[in-house]
Amino acid sequence: MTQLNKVNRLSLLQVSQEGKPEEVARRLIEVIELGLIGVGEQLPSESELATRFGVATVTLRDALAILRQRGVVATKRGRNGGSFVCAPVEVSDEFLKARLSAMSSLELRDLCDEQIAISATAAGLAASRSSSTQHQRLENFVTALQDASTRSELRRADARFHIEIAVAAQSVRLTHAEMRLQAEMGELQWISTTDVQKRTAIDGHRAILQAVMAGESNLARALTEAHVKDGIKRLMDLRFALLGQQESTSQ
Amino acid sequence: MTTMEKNDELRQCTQRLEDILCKVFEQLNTLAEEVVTVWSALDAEGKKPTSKDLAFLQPTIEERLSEHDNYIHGTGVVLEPGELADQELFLEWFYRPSSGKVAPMMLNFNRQSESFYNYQGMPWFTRPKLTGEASVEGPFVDLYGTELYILAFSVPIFAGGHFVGVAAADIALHEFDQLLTRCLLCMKNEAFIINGEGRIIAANSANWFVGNMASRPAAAKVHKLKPLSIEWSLVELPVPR
Repeated sequence: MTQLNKVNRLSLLQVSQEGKPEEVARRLIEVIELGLIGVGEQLPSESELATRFGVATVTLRDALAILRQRGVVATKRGRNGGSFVCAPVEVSDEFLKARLSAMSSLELRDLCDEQIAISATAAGLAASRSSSTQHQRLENFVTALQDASTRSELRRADARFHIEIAVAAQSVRLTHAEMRLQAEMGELQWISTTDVQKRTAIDGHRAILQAVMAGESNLARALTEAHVKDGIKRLMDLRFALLGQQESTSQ
Repeated sequence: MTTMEKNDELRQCTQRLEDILCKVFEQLNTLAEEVVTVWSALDAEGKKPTSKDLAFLQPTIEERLSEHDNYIHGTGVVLEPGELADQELFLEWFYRPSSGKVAPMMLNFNRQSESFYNYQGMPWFTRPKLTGEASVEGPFVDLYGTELYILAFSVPIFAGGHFVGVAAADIALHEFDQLLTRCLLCMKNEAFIINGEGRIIAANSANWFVGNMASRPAAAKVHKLKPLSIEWSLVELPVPR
């Protein structure tokens, strides 16, 4: 094997691993997106954050640079300076539609497969492992979806329900996997929301919750699988419609 | 095996487990006592304590977290609102981040904020306050906190007859597991530990998954573990492992 080939293989190994600054940036974004540090609030100092994440200050600065670049925080200089959380930019429907239409059918199907593997398994386990205190918590997150109206509220309440199911399943790994999936997919699910879609989602969550409370593992799993498939099918339909429009305007 | 040997085995296992639990609570009681000493001294001078009066705990906490066989993820004291002259909600708390260096815990006590961390409603705080006894909450997935599967141990602090707060410790189950499993492996039969709600905390056989609710066969023997206030039991099945 040539030297060049070897170098290529090694660089592939490197990029497949998330870098430290990216990891810290992702965790900070999760904390901010879930409202744990509110809009306009100041982030703790660089040295405090570095200690908290167990990384060097240099790494943390790189992470903050990523956040600035994405418009998540703004940094003020001077005496009362520091990094502050910016108001979330409501990404326009148009932007999300462009992102969706650029995806492939295969990508969407694959996301569906992964989400079923994670969410349905979590629901099945939650049915056998959750306690009544957790049922109460889950109930709150169904209600939160009812009360939500803007896209970011809907998205947050929807994501939180699925994350809390994984928490009720007593699994740290499934919880992290669900958080990652929701961060990746959550926003797309609520493009051009209709009341029907919201009602369907609430009914879906309520049915899953009832199966979980009844300790019906298989039912909870099957209902979640159907719920996930519904969501992805809706995205696929929307994508076909968007592509159809593009096709007819280009002709 | 004779009944006598069996009883001996069970007694030893129970004893070891109780020693482990008691050690955690002893350490928490030491923290609590240190707080009481300072509170009484300040009270005698007619002064109300401030958050700075808790800084003396730091060496004790750091030493505990850096002990060689340590399985405590984070520990400290958490104050009842109104106890301090300068802060309403306050905790003197340190933990071990993944880097291994001990660091202070940061929480958001801004009531206006969506992320307001209101511990006044959390079971590890309210239960010792209400019962006056030691408590263990969990295991639970500590979402947005440590993000680990956590057992929260806590004891109440009473000074001059009134509730001051709790001394508490977060123990990550994946680290505590080593210790508990070794104890259970002294049993020839299948055995596991369950908490008050019937959830499995540790087991000596792959037939019993940690985190599952235990379905208890009728023939199982259940031994309550001391201290009784924590409601943990050792369950022994009539099946060799």
